[in-house]
Amino acid sequence: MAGRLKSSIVSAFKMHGLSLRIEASKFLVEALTPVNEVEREEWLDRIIEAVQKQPLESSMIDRLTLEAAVNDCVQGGEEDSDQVFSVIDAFDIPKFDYNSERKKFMPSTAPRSLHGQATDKAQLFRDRYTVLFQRTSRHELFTPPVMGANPVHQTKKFQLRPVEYLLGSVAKLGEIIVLGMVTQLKPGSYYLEDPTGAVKMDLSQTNFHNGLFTENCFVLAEGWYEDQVFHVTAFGFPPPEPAKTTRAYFGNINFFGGPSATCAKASTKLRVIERENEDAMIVFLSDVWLDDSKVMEKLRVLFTGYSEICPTAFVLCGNFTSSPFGSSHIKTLRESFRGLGNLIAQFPSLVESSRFIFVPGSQDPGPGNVLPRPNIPDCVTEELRRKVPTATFTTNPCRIQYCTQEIVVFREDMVTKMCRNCVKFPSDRDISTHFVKTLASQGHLCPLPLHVEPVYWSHDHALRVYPLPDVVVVADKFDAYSNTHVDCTFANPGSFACNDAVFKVYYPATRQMEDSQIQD
Amino acid sequence: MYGEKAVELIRQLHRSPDGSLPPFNEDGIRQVLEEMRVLFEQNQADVNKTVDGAPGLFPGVQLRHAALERNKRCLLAYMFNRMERLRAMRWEFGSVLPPDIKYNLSEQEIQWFSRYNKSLAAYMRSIGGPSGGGLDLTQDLKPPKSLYIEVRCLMDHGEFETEDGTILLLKKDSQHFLQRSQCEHLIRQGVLEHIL
Repeated sequence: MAGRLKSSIVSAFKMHGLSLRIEASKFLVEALTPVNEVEREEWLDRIIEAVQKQPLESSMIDRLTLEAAVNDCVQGGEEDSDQVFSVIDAFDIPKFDYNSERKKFMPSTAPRSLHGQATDKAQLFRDRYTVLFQRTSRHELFTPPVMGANPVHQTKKFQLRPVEYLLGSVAKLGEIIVLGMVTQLKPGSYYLEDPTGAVKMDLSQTNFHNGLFTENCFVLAEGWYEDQVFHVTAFGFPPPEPAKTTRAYFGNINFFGGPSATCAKASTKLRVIERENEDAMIVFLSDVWLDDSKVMEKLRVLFTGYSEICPTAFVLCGNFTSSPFGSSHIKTLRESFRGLGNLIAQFPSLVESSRFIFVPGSQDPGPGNVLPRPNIPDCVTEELRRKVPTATFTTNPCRIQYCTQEIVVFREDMVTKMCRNCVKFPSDRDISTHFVKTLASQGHLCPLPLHVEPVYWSHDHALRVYPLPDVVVVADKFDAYSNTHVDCTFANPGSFACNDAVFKVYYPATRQMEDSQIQD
Repeated sequence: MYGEKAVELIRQLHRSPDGSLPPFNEDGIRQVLEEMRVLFEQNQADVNKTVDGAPGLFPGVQLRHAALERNKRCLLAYMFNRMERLRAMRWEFGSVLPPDIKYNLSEQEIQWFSRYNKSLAAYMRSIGGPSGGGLDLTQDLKPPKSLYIEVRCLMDHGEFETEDGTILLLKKDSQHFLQRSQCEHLIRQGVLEHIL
C-alpha cells in the first residue's frame, strides 16, 4: 500500500520534471497516507503547484521546501485575509539593487547591520544614484531620438553625460547635462559628484527650478564647462516617475515589503475589498503629547466621535511627551501610555475594530537620532498593549499596506531641516510644494547630508520611496498640507498638540485626504 | 534607417551561442515600438491629407507601411525565437531553470514557461497506458543502447532511492551500475557521469 502510494508520488513529481530527496518523499508519504484515494490525486496536484511557486534552485526537492509548500497548501484559504492590512517595520523592508546589465531590480543578499562597514557608506550614495540614473535615462527627454521622426514635431532630446566626460576634456564644452550629487568637498565651494568623479561648480549665474536643493541631493545640472569649472545655467531635479510606469518596466515585484511575494496592486481580490469598503478611513495624528491634559481631552473627543464609525486605523506619531528629556522622562511616558490605554479601553468598539499604530518621534526614548528609528521599548508600552491588543508600536519610518494601497509614514521635522540646508532658498513662500517635489524627484524621504540627519548606512533603502507609494505622510511640526504630485499624495497632519488639534483623515476608497480639526 | 533597431534585436539573439539566452532586451523593444508609433502617426496624418485631396503622398505611406510591417515581423521573430529556446531548455534542464537563466527572462516569459510546464506534465500523465503514472517523454531523448549503464558520482549527493525501493549512497567518486531511466536526470544535473 505504502509502496504504491510512494511510486505514484514519485512518478507525479517526475512528470513535472522534479525529483524528491529521500527524506522528502518519506515526509509526503506520511502526510498523504491518512487521505483517501480519491482526494489524494487532487492534493498531490495542489502540492506540486505549491512546490513550483517556491523559489527553487534545482529540481531536487528537499524536505524543507516540501514542508513549506504543504503548509502553503493547507493555509491557502486564509492567506489573503491577513494581507488586507499590514504594518511593515523599517528593518524588514526588502532591499533591491538595480542591475544595470540585466536592467532589473534584484533582491539584495548582502548582510545588513546597524554598524556598517566603510563600503556601506559609499554604497548608500551609489545606490541612490543608480536608482535615479536608470529612472532619468529612461525618461523621454533622454532616450535616443527615434528614427524617421519629423524633426519639426520632435521634442528636444538631451544626452546625459557622466562627470568623467567633463574631466577628460580640455576644450570648452557647451550645453551639457549631468546627473550628479551636490557636495561641498571644500568648504564654501560646491561640487557635482557622480560615481566617475567630481567637478567644481560655479553657481553664480544659475537659474534654480522648483524644489529645495540641499547638499547630497541629486540634481540635473545644465551648463557649460571651461577651465575645470562647470558653469551651471540651470539646476533642476531628475524628473519623477509615476509608480504605474515603474511597474510597467519592472513587473509586479513587491518593492514595498509585507507578506505577499508580488505587489499588492496586482491582486484583484484586494481591489474588490478596497472598493466595497467605502467607509474605510485612516486617521493620522502627529505630536500627540500624552502628558498634556489638554491633548488627552481632545483625544477623548476624537475617540468619542469615531466610536460609532470605527476607522480602520489610527496612526499616532510622536513625540509622545511635551518635554523631551529629564530623569523622569521614561516614567512620565509609561504613565501617559497607561492613561491612553485606559482612555481607549472606554471605547470597546474601537478596541475591537480599529488598529492603533504608534510611530516614534525623534525625542521619544530609543537609541540616538539615527534613522530608521526602532520602536519604543516594550517595557514602556506594556500596559497599553495589554489593554489594547490591536496596538502596534513600529519604527520611524514605517510602511502600511491597506488593500492595494501603499502608505509610508515618516515622523521628522523635515521642512525646517531642508530649508536650513538649502543651497538657495526659494523666493516664493510655497514651501510645501517645493518640499513635495523634492521628495518625489529624489525618490528618498531624507535627501540631507548625513551629518544633519544620520542614517544607518545599510538600512538606507528603508527611506526609499521608489516606486512612489500612494500616500506619503511626513508628520512635521510645520503647517499642515496635502499635495498630490505624480499620482502620489503627500500630506502633513500638522502638530496635534501645538496647532489647535489638527489632524488628517485618509479615505482609501476615494483616495481623498481630508483636513480635520477639533474645536474647543 | 528604418527598421535598424529591430534587426539589431535579431542580430543580438543570433550572436548569442546556442543553448544560452541573452537578457530580455526591453529597452530595444521599447525603442522599436516608439519608432513604430511615430511611423504610424505620420502615416495616419498623410492618409488623412490624401483623403482631403493632397496628391503625391502615397509612396511615402507605402514605404512607412513596409517599415512598420518589417518591424512587427522582427519583433515577433525575436519573441518567437526566444520562446523556442526556452522550450528547448525545458527538455534539457527540466522544469527548474538555473537562476542565471531565469534572471534573463522577462515576466511574461516566466509565466509562459510555467504554463508550458504544466501542460506538458498534464499530457505526460495522461498517456502511457492504463497502469497509470504516465510516461516521461523527456527521458531517453536518444534511443538507449542498453538498459543499465555504469555511472560515476561527481559530487556528494547523499542517499538516493530507486523506484524499486533500493537505497544507495551516492558518494563522490563511487561507481554504480544503474538503470538508465533512474539516473538520467542526475546525469543531466551533473551529479553523475556516464562511463563509456
